Amino acid sequence: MDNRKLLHIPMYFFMIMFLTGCWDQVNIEEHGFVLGVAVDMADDGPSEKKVFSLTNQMVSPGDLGTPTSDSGEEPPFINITASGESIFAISRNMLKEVSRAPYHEHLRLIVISADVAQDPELFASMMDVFVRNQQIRRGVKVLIAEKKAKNILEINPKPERLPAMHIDMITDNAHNSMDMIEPVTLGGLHGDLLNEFSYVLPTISTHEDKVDYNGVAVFNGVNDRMVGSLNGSETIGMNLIKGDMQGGYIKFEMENHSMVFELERAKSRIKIDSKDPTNMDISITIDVEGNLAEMYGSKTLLASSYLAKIEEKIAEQIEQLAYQTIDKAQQEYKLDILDIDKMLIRKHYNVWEKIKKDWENGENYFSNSNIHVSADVKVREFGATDRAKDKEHQ
Amino acid sequence: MKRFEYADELISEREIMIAIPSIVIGVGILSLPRFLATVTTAADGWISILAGGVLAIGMTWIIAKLAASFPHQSFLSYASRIVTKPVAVVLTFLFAFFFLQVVAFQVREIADISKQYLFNRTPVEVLALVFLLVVVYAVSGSRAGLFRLNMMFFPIILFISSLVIFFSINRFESEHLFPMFQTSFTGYLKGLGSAATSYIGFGILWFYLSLVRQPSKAPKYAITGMCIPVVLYMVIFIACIGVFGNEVTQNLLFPVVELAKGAEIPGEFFERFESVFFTIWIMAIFNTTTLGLDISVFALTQIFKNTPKYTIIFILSPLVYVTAMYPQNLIEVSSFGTYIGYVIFGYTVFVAVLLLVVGKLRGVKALG
Amino acid sequence: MNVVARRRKRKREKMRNSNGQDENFSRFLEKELEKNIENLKIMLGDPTDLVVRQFPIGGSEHRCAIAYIDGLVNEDLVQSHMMKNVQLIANSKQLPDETTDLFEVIYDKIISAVNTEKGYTLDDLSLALLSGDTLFYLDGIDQVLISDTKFWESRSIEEPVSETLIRGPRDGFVENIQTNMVHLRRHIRDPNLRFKQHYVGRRSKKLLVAAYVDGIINPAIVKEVNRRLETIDMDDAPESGYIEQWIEDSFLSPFPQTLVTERPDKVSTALMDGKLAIFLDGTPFVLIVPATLGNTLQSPEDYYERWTIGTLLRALRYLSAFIAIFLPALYIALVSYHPGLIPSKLAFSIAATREGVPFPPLLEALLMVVTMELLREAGARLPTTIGETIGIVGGLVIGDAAVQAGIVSPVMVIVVALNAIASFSIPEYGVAIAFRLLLFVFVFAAAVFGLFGIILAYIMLNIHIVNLKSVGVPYSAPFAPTFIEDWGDLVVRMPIPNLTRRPKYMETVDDKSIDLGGKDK
Repeated sequence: MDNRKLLHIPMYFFMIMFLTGCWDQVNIEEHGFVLGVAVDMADDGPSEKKVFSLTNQMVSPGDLGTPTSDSGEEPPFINITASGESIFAISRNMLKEVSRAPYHEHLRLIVISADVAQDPELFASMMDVFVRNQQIRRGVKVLIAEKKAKNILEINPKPERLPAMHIDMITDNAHNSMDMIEPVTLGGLHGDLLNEFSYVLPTISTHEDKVDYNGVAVFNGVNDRMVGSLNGSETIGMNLIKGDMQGGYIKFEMENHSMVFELERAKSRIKIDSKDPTNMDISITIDVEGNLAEMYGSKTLLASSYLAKIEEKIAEQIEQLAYQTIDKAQQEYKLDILDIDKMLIRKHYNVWEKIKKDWENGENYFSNSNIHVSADVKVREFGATDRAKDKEHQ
Repeated sequence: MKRFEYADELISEREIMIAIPSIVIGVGILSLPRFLATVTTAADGWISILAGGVLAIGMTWIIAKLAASFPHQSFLSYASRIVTKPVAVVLTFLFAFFFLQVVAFQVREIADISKQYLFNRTPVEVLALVFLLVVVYAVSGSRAGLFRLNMMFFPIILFISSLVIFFSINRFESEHLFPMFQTSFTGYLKGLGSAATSYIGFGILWFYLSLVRQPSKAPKYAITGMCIPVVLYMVIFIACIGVFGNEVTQNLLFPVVELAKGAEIPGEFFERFESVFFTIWIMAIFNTTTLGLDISVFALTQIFKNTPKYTIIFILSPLVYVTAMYPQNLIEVSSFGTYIGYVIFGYTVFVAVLLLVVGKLRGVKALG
Repeated sequence: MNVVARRRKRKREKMRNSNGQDENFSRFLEKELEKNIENLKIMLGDPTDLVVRQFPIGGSEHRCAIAYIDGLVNEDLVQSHMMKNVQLIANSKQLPDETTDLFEVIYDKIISAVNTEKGYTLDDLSLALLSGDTLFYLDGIDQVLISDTKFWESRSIEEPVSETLIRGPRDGFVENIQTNMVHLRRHIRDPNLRFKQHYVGRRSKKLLVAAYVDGIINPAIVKEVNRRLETIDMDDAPESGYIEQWIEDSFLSPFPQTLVTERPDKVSTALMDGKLAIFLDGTPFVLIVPATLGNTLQSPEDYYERWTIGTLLRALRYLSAFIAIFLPALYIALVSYHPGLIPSKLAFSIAATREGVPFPPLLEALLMVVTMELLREAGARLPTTIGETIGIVGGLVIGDAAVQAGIVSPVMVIVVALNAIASFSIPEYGVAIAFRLLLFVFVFAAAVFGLFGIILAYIMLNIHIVNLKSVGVPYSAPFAPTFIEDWGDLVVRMPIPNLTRRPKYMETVDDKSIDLGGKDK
């Protein structure tokens, strides 16, 4: 008797299993893996309501090619665009077009076009949808497209055959150059959206089949609207002021010869004199170390005086870059994209508590403050040789 | 000759040391950083965690000391000696009742979080039921088996926690920790509330200490055990703030799971580490739930001596399930959790004070 | 407990029945020789292999007889130690006339077989006779002399087939229990080595020996094992598996609660750890109790190689245990429920390979795992040479063809193959099979609830393990209940000089296995 009852247990288990489970079972090949999302304003549509369009880049695994079979000529992705007034509506529309439900867990990239970002409120609420989505990771990179975001996902890159993957990898190279910023992730952006501080997002643009990844878009932290952008060289200035760089190069002229300084490390120290909160003195020191990578002159580098001259020249160049950015931030955008506010919170919390309402807004103490930049350059190496060419001086 | 004493129903002090963090660490910590971040500035919440921890450690010591002075006696029997039998029965019954609520809360939370991070469409009811069945299976086994389960799972839980923290290091931004010590006193106090209630569970000592082979050693081990969650909570909290910043932490439903979500495993062997983390964390919640249910069963078997353990389990489990399914949405679940936290913490403190004071007044011998 | 008590009661009743049953011969010995021989023949049904030789004792009127079973005895011994002595040597001596005295003289002086005893009942001598002893009857006395003349053809000692090692002794146990005990004696020359005898099988009356080292083993284990062995009540125990299943703690568990080995070295190591070995006549497989989960993943070779290698092998085995149980389940969970966990590029290529596969991963996995089991079973039953062919046909042809035909995805083939290899690398066959069984549980759990199902199944497995005991010792020791002292020989294998203590969880009488100071005992 006992034994027969025991046999019932597995039977019940089987029954439970077949009665319950499998709600969520979707086999891997039935997912439409979305790798990149692009958001644009819809071209047509009534002007009163904001209609935007969403492009999902989906992988078509069969065309990706496996080691055993040759990859087809077909591009291994499909871009599907649908438009509507809300992301939710768009997703519904999109389901009519594709057989496989979009699956966002492998999403790499969200590209937002500049006109969407400039639209009041639209950007923040759209990002909210992405942040809220459980499928989307916080590591997804967010980029601003200068023109149409959809175009970014339509390039045909090599050797990476998926545009989203391609761009994802390009952005990871940011630490090697100065006119890019470290990619901003959705998680990071979530913080920016919640904070009142203004922030920047990297911009991207296309030229024929190539993407150009430099410059940043400047966002007002209060209403989360894009207010403008910095070009490549202004971005360099911003990066230098914020410090913490590990690569990049600076071109400069030395006695009519152009030289290239390869930056190895840059660190900035910001000192704030907050005696007069309405008109602060901020001094920024940028310590730069690096090598001379290319030189088109012919003078010996071993002479310390010459080297000092070079260092001075580079410093001058750096300061100029920094001032250019500061001017733009203070005068044009009146937004503290240099993260001086964060420094204030850290070091001068009491002052900050008083002025936080009027730092970037209201009185805008930020644009009133005096920012002074000085650069300290050290050239560490100049390659294995002193001179490798140019015998005319001997 | 020795007859495999460790294999029977008695437990060692070391098992008590593991049982304490096992019941403490559950779903509470997953959302604790959010509560703390809302009431404190930057990373100041760690002070609340520490203060709450010291409080909890103190309580643990008092309870362990008190219970240890009645070696191998059940809670009901020594409580009866101190505050008469009827009162003791009521106290025991309330313990059973409150721990049952904890079980229900844990079951509900695990179902909710699983649904959020692992499933989309599977109903919460089914997830909760399946989990509860496993818990019932565990509680139906031997009591010593439960402590062994704690021993088996606890290292894994610690390991996965340290893994999450370790892989968060490169996203840690120290500037998120500033400014320090800018929280108002009331802020700390509110934080203390959330922190202290996340340590509930040391009440198990009232009951399990009667099983310890050498009760006199138990208080020391119990305290050591209690230190583990305190340290772990502090580290996890600081990691959350360091990675997300205070603002974001406030807005994440389960900051610890999100912490795992962002963890980057070298070589990208696993993407979406949070699923793995949460899956492992189910073990931690399982430990909490089984110990909670077992305490209820243990307490009730002390009252109803002639009722078999299985009967009690079979009566309790549907109650747990119904209670767990009662809250209608996440907000209700959350306030249910807060309520249980305060009630149990308060009740445990109340019982400790009651037994101490009445015991002193009536001069019950075995005390002290 | 109840079950055992019930069984015992049943046994006692049966014993009573068999004693009371009607028989046409007497169970007690008579004084007359003829009558005794007659009784013996009736009892055995006058078999053709029963040899009875009656003859007079040299130089006297007394008649005597010897009886033995042809083929079970060493006839040379019978000839030289009994027949010759009784017939010839007796002749030259002055023998007493009194039958009782004569019997004593023959017992004391004349029969020179090494081991001779007196028998009083028919039951005594039937067991002896059927075990290969020779009976000596003397007319006029109701006693019999039983001389040990056992001898039968036995397989020579060979390398154990089921447990091959690269390094280690090449000898294995054989079917003859005497040889096996000798084997063990040669490994352990300790005066405290004890052999406790039992006879199992109501009809087969097989010799069963519980071997242990007194002074190491916890007496509680000896007591408990002997108690369980005494409850055994079956007609025949053809193999030690019968014994194993009779004395195990939980028959519902998939895990074997005894270790099975053919290796004397493994048995001797186990005895040194305070365990007990059960030998059964007629099988080379020896049981070792109690077993723990940790034991099942150990191989003698871990100790024979240097400790770094031993540790590596151990760790590898834990990994393979993990793969053997979890891999297909994890694959199903990831592919069916959590594709987000798979690295993007891998996810895409898995998706690409699965395109066109008509079955869901669960079915695919079951198909492959069942095929795998079929191949294994077929290979095991067939002669080695054909078995290999099966492996090739199965592995290469079916696997490749199935992929080509698009019935299964290549990744699944890899998963299942890896899983099978992992499960075969587990030294204890019983455990390997248990893992194969658990595999199905996990696969179903994964198919229904994904990772959630797997972890719940894993928790249930743990619940089962912590509640399981082997002869009173928790199966999960020394993980939990935790004996950190024993962890030096668990997942890692510490250097031999560091392994000076016997396992703590065995609660041995004497806990030092190496006398460090050389002072105490």
